[in-house]
Amino acid sequence: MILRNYTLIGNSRAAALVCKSGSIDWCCLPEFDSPALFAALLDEEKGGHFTIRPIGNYSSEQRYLPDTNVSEIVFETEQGTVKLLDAFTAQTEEQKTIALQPDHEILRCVEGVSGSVTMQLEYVPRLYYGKLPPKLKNYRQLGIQCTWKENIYSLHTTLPPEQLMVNETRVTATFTVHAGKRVLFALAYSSQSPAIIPELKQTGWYRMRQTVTFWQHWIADCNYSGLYLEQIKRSALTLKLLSHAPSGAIVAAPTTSLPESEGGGRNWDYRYCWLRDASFTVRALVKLGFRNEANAYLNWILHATRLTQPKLQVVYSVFGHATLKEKTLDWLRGYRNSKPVRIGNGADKQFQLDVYGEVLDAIYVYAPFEAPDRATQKFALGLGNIICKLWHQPDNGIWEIRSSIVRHTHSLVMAWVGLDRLIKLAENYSWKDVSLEKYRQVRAAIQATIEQQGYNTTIDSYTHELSGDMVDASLLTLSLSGYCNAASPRMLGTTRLIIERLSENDLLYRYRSITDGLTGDEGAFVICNFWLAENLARAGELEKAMHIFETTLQHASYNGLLSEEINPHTHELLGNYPQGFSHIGLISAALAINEVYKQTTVNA
Amino acid sequence: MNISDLILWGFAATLVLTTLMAASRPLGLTRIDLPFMLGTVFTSNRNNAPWIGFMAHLVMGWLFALIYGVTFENTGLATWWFGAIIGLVHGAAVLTVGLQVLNFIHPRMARPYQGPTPTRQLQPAGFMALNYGTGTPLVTLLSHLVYGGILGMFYS
Repeated sequence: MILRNYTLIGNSRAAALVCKSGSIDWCCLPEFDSPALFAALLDEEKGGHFTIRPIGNYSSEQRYLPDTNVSEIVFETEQGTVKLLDAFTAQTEEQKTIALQPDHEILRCVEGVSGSVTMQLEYVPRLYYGKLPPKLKNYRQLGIQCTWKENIYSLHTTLPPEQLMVNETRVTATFTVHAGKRVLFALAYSSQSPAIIPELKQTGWYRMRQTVTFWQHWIADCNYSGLYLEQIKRSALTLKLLSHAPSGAIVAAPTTSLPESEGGGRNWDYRYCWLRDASFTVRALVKLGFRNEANAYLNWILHATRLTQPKLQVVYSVFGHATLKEKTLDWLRGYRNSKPVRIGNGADKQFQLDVYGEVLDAIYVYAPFEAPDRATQKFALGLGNIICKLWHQPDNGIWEIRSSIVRHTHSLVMAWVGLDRLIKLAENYSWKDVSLEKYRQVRAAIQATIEQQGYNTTIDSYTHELSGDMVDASLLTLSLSGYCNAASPRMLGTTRLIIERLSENDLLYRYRSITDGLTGDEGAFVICNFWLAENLARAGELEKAMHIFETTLQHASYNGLLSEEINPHTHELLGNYPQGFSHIGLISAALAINEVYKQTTVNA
Repeated sequence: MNISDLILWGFAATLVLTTLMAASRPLGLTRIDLPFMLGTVFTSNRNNAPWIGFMAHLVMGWLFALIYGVTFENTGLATWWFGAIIGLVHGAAVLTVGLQVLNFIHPRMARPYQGPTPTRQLQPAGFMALNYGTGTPLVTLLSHLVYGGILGMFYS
């Protein structure tokens, strides 16, 4: 059980991880942050799983069907070959009006390719992250159901009901699939209403085809052509799975407590939305042509932050809940014995100055497509005023360091970016009654502070904190956010020192030798490698940029998914998986490399 | 019979009944959703079913208010407690007869003893609507009791 063996499926409301052994080992329903029904990823014994695989020896290969979020596993056995297709049903809003559909449906189609293969089914749901055993009830043709609070989960299949062995806590079956034949399974979820029973025999395969077409049509809107096209499309499809269609939010990852080092305690719940991702996310979506998603995300920011405006929290739930109380789930062993397993996220109470700049930059990037309305203007001005009031205060910084607060250079740069974008917005859209002079003065004061105290002439680099002598990888974003040029002497010096101090086996840590108040180590940080690649490309070092970019890609899962971190020694993926921030970094770096590559070839 | 009272308080009582039943769902007491179940008689569009069903439920609330009015007139007992008793009987009838009949006339509700077809996908209610959660009989009886109580209290 290693992360690279997992593929993500979902419907932009919930998601599941499917292992190449045919087991769904992680699935939370009905929302990303709902309690898990299958959590074998965090505890094989207690977590619960939904497995379909051949009996006896087999080998398996897993991939996505091209341009889709439909997982395909091909099992090779001595008796023959079978395919297993897995997906959350995805339909257009129009298709949904034709027949009643459950709130969520995971479709699993077993298809004989050659020979006759005997398969086994094991459906072992567990309620509330494996804490409670279910009470399964067999309604035969109407499915095998279990209820918990307002939730009802039901299993359906095209197998005859008598072929299923049902007891209170698990369903098992043995069945043979012949070449050209299909057996379908569906897990349906309904809430607060009578369950809706998905029909499988006549329409199940049709819904799977609809799902394939849905994803192909969606990705066809991607207007990018150039280097690394497949990786960019996979990243866009993954971001779409991490987006929450009803609210427009994008969660950082669909999992919790996948550790930053095996056996360590750096295990966090990432099923929430971090505002620090705002600017990069909107830029990536807009550049690829996904304006609907960018618009929805900005609207989410505007509405989700209502409870705390004009102040912003670091992190919110998809519905804008401002309190995400952190708890530990003591009964779970954790991924490869990495305890504790946490839910909720204590970062919600931290102060990060940079998020104000991130959000203002996101508004600025989207503004050419839809001029900011009065509500957005009021919101943006509120953020600007907060920056003016708080920019001189220490914060937890982009890396959410829990042990201490200091004045981070990166946070100040993002405060500068925020005011810079606010001034440009006010000028471009002729906002009235805006104290532009005040914003200009504060912007200049912030810049002076950064250049005088955030840059150390002894080490020839910007520094992690004011008057410091250490670096962290967030400094690579100084050029990416438009504060300075990647080819400027100060930025070149910073990039050089970051490579020297933070790189190992061509992979970059986000920081080293900085006390963050946590025990244990962590791996190289994926997005930092992409930031480095983008910096190198923009500084004209295309070959080096491509090397760093491709080295990072080599560590992705077999299906192109990236987690938050990579172990530079074992090359395993670490941390929550797949992580949106990593894929946003991938898109951004690939676009930059492609841009420079094109310029280089034109000039040549 | 005071028709204007029945229209006004029939509306108010139906609204309270619907609210009580809706509030009990997120609390995990039941999954019964009468507006949704009635709405899906007319459409399979999940976006439209709730409001169509609510309108249908409102009309039914008025029709039942007429029956309550006739009973109040004939017995001369237009009091909250008598209304509540009728409401209790009404709720029991919904649970034991109404939902069973609905199962056989509803074009999208699966029959208990047959496999689901593409157009019959709504979970059947079962005995006393227990398929929708063990709290369903209690919630249904209590909300109908309140419906009757309101009509009895305000009918003059």
